[in-house]
Amino acid sequence: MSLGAHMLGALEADEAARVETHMETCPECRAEFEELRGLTALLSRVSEEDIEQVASPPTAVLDRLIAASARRRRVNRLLMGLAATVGAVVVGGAALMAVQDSGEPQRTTAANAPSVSTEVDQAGPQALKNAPGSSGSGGALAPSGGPSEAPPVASEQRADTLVAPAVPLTGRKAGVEARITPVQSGGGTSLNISISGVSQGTSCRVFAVAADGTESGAGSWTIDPADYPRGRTASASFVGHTDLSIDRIIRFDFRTPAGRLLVSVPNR
Amino acid sequence: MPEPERAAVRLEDVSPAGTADEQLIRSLFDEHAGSLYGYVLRLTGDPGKAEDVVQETLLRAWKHPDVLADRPIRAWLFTVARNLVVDHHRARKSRPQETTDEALAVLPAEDELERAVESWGVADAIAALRPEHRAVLLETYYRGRSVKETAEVLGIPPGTVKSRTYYALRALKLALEERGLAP
Repeated sequence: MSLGAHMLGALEADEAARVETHMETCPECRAEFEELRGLTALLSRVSEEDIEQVASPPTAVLDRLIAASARRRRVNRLLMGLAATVGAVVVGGAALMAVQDSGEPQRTTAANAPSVSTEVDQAGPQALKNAPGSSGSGGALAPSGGPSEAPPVASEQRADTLVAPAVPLTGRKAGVEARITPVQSGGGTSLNISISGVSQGTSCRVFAVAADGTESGAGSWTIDPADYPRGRTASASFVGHTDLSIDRIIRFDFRTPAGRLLVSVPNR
Repeated sequence: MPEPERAAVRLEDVSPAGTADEQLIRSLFDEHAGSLYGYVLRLTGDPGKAEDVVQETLLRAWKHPDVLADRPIRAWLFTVARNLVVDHHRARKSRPQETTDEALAVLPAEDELERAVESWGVADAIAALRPEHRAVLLETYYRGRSVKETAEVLGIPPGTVKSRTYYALRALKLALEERGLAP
């Protein structure tokens, strides 16, 4: 019983001497002492402060993590709701918008591609700083800078839903260009969409059209005039979802609320 | 009285996936946040930044459970945290106006990572001991107190200090073995 205290040097001198004497004639105690002795090398590698830190992790972080995961769930629900009630959610769509300054339609599809490992490498802690304090889904999604800011929308999809390679479909009409990367998601299809050449303030709706003429709303958004200098056309990226499976869809139509066709993107 | 029907709807709104997510986050946090925080704090010297890095690291682990399935999670977490610290440090260096007050305390070297994972595993194992076991180890080993002094500080008989120290070391050995850190 005194072996542990002896090993840690906590026994008074006379008792320590007794333990030593005992171990000379007791192989069992000697063996046990040797077995435990290796622990002191490990104990010496940490400080009392280290142990206290481990024992009292920063609980504020837990709260923020739970809030962040809840926000992510809300975002997912919002995306589903958007698909279900297309046309009525232009305001909600504005929160999802990732309007970009110039024609750079590939951006969304490129951002959709990174695997888990590249994402780990690219985002710094400053990306995180934006998240905890931001309120509502707009703050969580609105891109504010470099390439590491773009993936949040795309990364809402779990990697296991990415059954098809991310090959964008494109369509052009009178200066308007749209790209769609469809990703099978459950029974339906999630769409990473970018569109350029549409003047600001334009509201767009996206419809997935099946071979039999069935149309399914896949999202709507508005190009926010406040974000961009007058007179420029913008490229916007957003995520849509339709209940139609990708193999049923023959094309995607982008229309204004009045029904005017902006551009059509054929499916392969 | 709240409207019961609405309350029921709200309960359903918390999807099974949601509660599972929260459980995963809690278990990630409980198991790793303390040692990660200690590690990052030593790298950065900045508690606020250390919290941010821990949060981001655990968030990534939560988002990508598949990544963690086939590798030691502790090493993965420490690697991610270290990369975040280094990235942040580089970002700061590229903006000279911000480097004056906050320099990275220690720039971590690649080969120190494994050792850090081990050391924090030890701290973790000690922290996971029963409180009475942890207390005697702290007093006798880390504060250098004798059995007699420890008995006085903790208000228990010297014989109890001895037996607790012994059982604490046996428990620690087991805890280290569970973590692959047997001496």
